[in-house]
Amino acid sequence: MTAYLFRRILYVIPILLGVNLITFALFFFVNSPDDMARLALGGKRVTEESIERWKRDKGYDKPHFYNDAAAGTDRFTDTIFFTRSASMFALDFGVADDGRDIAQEIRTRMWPSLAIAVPTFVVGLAFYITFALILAFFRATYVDVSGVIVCVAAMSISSLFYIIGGQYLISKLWHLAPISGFGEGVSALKFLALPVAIGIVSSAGANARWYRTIFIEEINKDYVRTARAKGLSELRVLFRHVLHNAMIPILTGVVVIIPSLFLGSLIMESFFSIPGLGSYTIEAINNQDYGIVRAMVFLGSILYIVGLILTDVAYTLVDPRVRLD
Amino acid sequence: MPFKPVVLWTDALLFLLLASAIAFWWHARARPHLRRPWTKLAGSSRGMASLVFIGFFLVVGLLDSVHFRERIAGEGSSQQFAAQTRSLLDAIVGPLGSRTEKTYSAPLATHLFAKETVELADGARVRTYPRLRYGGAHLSDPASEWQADVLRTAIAGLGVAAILWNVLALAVTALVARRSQRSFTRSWHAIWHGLEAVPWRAILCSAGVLILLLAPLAVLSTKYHVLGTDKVGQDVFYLTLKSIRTGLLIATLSTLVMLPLATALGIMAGYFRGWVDDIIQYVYTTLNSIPGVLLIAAAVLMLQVYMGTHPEVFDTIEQRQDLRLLFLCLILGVTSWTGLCRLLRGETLKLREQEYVQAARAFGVSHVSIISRHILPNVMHIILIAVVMDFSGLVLAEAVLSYVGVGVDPTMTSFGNMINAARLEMAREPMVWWSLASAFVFMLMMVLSANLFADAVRDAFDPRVNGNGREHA
Amino acid sequence: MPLPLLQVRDLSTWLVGGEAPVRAVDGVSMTINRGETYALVGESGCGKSLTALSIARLLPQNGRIRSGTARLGETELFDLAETRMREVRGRRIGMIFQEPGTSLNPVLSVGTQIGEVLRRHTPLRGVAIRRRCVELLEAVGIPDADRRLDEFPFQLSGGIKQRVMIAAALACDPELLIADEPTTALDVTIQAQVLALLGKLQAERGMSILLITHDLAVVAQTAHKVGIMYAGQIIEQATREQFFQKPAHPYSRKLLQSLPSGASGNGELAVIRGSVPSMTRLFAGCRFAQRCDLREPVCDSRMPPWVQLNDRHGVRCVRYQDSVPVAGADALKPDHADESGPAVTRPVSMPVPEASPSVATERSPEPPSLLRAEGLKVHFPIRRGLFKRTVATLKAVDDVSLRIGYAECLALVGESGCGKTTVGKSLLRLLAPTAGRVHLEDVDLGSLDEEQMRARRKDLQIVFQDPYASLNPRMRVAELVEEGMRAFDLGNAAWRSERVDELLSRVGLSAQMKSRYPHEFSGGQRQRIAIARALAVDPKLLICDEPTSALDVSVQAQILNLLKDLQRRLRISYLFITHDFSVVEFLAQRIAVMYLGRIVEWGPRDAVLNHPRHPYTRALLSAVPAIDESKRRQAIRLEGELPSPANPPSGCHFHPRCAQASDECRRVFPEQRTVGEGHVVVCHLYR
Repeated sequence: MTAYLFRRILYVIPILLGVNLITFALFFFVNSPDDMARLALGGKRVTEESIERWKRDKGYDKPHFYNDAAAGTDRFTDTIFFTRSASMFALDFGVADDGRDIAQEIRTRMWPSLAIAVPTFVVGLAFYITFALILAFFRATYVDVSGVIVCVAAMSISSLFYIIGGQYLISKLWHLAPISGFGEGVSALKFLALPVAIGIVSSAGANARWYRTIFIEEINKDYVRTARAKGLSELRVLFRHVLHNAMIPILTGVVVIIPSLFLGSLIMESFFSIPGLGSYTIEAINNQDYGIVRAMVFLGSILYIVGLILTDVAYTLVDPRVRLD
Repeated sequence: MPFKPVVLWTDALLFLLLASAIAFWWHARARPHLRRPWTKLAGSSRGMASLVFIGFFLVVGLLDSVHFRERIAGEGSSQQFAAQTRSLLDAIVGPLGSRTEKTYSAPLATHLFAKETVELADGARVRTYPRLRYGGAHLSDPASEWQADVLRTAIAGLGVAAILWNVLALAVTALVARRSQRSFTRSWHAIWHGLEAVPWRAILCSAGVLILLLAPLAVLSTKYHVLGTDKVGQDVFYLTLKSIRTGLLIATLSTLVMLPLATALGIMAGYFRGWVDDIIQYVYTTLNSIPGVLLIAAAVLMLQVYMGTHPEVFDTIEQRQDLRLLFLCLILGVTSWTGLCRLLRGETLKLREQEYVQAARAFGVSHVSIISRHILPNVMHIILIAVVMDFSGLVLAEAVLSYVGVGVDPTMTSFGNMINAARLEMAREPMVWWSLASAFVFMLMMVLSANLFADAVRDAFDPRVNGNGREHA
Repeated sequence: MPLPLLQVRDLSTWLVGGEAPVRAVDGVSMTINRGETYALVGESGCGKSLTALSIARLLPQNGRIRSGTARLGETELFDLAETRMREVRGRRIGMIFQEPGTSLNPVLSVGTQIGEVLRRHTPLRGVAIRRRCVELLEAVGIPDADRRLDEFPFQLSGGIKQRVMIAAALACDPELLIADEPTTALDVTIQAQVLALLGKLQAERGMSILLITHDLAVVAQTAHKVGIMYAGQIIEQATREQFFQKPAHPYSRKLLQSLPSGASGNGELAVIRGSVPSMTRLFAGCRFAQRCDLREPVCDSRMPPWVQLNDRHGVRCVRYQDSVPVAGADALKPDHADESGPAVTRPVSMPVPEASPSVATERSPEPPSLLRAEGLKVHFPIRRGLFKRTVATLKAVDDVSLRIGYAECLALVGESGCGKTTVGKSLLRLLAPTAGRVHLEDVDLGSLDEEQMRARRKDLQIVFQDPYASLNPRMRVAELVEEGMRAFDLGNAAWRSERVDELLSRVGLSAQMKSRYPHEFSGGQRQRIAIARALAVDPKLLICDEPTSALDVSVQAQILNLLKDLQRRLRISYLFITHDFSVVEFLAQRIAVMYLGRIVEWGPRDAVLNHPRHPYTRALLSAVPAIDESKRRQAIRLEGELPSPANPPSGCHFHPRCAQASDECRRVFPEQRTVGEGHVVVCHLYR
């Protein structure tokens, strides 16, 4: 197990390096820092001096990978790549355009994101699995058929409509919850209810249908027939035998996103004005703050890879055949 | 020539895709094993009913992809062409696109939605709802005539629908009668009792619903803004029709980008294994680990910088929109190939151990031949299923990306931009709801029919579903 | 007469959902007495498994019981509510299935899976359940039962898994055990163990067994009563003795004759033409008529009635109607059959094959051989740990030498996992051997580069086990057969097309079939296509990797006849890889027996079959079920199972399972000893 984890962590390094190179290439090769400066400072009539100043402020006035002018290790360290990209390995994300420290900002903003994302994830998963199990229990009856049709219809509606519709109905028409905003402590609950509910409903169709497919596939396996031949009740067959086996494919899709819950949901947070990482990212995109976008890309990759490792570990919990060594 | 054809990049690619689809259909027609799942698909009433709707969207999208510039003056070499690029769809819907009001107006309204100060003929100034320039302009006294006129026009629309549908039903029956060498009445009976192999009943029903929906809209739209107008007074029905092409292009062209990447790399990884597999796996794990929206956002941001600093590259607004759309498809393709690639890798790993591949290796058949003759044909169904399943997801993704600000060009008509604009409209008092509602209805129709069709395709092609993997004689 | 345990009357079961319902079971009646084993026998697709599932009401989603009754003791099973039926399942009816690998839940421990039956049907709880589970595992002969309870199915071998299945099925002492092909997925030695176990448990507990099988030899050893099923109907029913002595229905007779061990004097197996008819159609007359040699006009028009020949024997055939039963049976008798039963006579003299000279002289100057392999090794590294270091080697093939003469058939026999398929693949270089040399005629294949090897591949071809996996479903028959010719660039298109026609007719298919696709053919026809494809490039050696093990008996006979005929006409050599001794007997001139990556005994066919020397060969032969009692060898029960080739036992690999093992066997791997004309054994017992 430890050897396995150690190996996986070693494997993470080239991947993060790859991510780093891709984003670096995207941000510094497609457009030169001059172009960025010109656009940031507005239009064509910008003096060379102001461009240089902008670049110096950002640290973009250095060569990309190799600094001829410097000496010793500085040849490699005194470059844009090293100071702007490689430094992220130390979780040093630099400063945003408004001068605030990005890492600090991430630390404070991740809590509101988690407050939305974790309940959505946990309650949603329980809801989807229950719903899918009900459909599987009534498979090939009208309950199942109409349930699947509802799922397909539900997944054909853009999540934007769920949000707009939910805000309109619940908040504007029925005044059941505040339309947007965020509070501290217990008061946060009333702000959280609507986004969490909408988050669950908006992805119910696709998830429930997917889980149902997994359950149905398991139900058709030989060991289920054996379980029935023992005289077990249908419910016990479903919960004891089918659910346990179905958890294996379900985990593959689910565990990997758990760490990414930190990042929050872009549209949900921006619609409900929640000061989390999702809205932070969206603001950064709209303000063209590349530093934040790069930091979020890197953070997202780390969390995804942590998710992959967690998935492997989760397998050992549900599947006795899997051992990490 | 009265017009000059304009071929945008996306137009060319869309028609290329259409041509290859037709070529594949032609190729499959003569091969029973390829035809079999299609026949099964053609027999699925759900699939065929949704195909009618998809057909409508496809026709609208294709018509909207034939672009040209009209001649405004001159002859021979001194011809002058309009600066504005129009599409065949614009030509067909005629004045719908050009009848622009001042600002918001509700569906079927005769007056603007907001009060304005109007100068009357006698010079007095009143704050009132001004009459629309085009919507219901033929009515002299809207207050008394409006209701009757709308009703009359709507009934005329329904009449048109009835005639159209009957013509269609008779044509289908005649076709079936000629094919099966039966009398007309017996064919009619066969169709309505579901005795035909092709579910004509479902097709006609769904065509009926579509015609019933569209014909009154079309007839009403000649006199009114049937779905209202937006902030700058553009007809919402027109905008909705124009949005279809954007959604369609995003969904198909992204696939076009993704397919060759996923297919080639997936099969290579599974077939050659070893270091080839290691590299390909490394590439897709790396790409996968970057959150999709963020990668798209980063790429689009950089595109914006490029466009901002190189305005000379783009002649017209259409070209700028088009290139941004193309680039968006490209980046969507690059971020979405990993799923299919992994699927194909797994399947190829299985297939390469199949005995018929081993038999080919025992003959010393080359790798290229084994891949093209034994592996590729046997993973085609996976590719096809993936393509149709991705379609609806990409249409939905367009909306979200446009909302985030990294979708298509903000000046381009698309469902995402319509919804985005509608957000602010919702906050108005009284609310402007019609843009959002139209986008909702049309988008739902498009995505739902795509989803239902995808289900039917999967049922027909997935050997696990229909159990034709192994039929004991 | 006491009340029978199970009485099934007029059972009809349909599979619905397709274009037409499949009438899979069509009017089946049978009676099973207490303490009796009733064997329901038939080829695949005849409806025997669905009959069993109908009785337990465990049909798949699309299965429907259309009519009929099933009475277990006093209980009408089909009238019970589902909840009551659940009380019957597991308590009064136990079931075991064909694939122990997939029939056990992979994520639950053995103890849980047995224990849940007890928890469901008995008041036992907690420690009492565990104690009972241990008893059950011991009863089914699993040593170290207490530890096994906490293990998961993936940690167990096939034989142990099937024992666990049996333990779970017997947990509540059911009156009836339904065993659906319980040994089909197992090796012969394990099959013998499981059959013996079932017999022992039946004797101890007095339960009845409904045994579903396709294997007549298994029936002959275990059943009291036999029912032969064909196309959804039982066409003959008799006590075992009656059935094997005087099979009445033409189908039953043919089935017995088509067993490889029942070859008639001219060295040909009896075959049943065609294949089982589709069950979606309605039958007017006898279902077997299309394939019957004794068909009369009336067979097509009238459904044959059930005729009771005597109180222990009934048959559904018009030939027995209105006539004195015994005379009718005699009239049916094929001319070469004798009183003791037509199908079970051992062929006294098989024609001596052409290759006999090469067989006879192993030690005298080497006869020219087509293929020689020396010291062939195929090892697979097992990698583990931080840097994927090789921690062990899986020695799939470990120092195998063999020789195949011209126009000779060498059978390579062994249990699954012994490495025989790997030998075949490494000879073809589909797998690269780790060590050793392979000479084809005078060419060392190992010294060839890729291009040269490609040219030599023409001489070596292979026919695979699974006719469904060995043909690309996306290619027409003509393209399939042509593949090799195109790869070697033989002839032009016209010539190849002509050759395809010729090859198809040679393997018994018509040339019109060449534009069709594989899915339109039955298993036997597909295997013919696969053979035609291999023959297309005129190979000198054809490696046949279990080519008949996926086929029904009657179809297997067709393929074996074809292979034999081809050998005679084309003078082609075979390396025939198989686990089935009865097939070996029919086809091979020489036999090599493989155990755990090594060949332990080889020699001429008759020498090995009649005077096996190696204890393993003897045990293997004794485990083969035989129909003819006189042919049954004294049973040598082989304990345990094949060890892992990653960690073979020291010394002689076989010593842990060998009753005659000495100290030396545990330490030293034995040398080759010649014990007869070309008969070599690798064992310490012969020196």
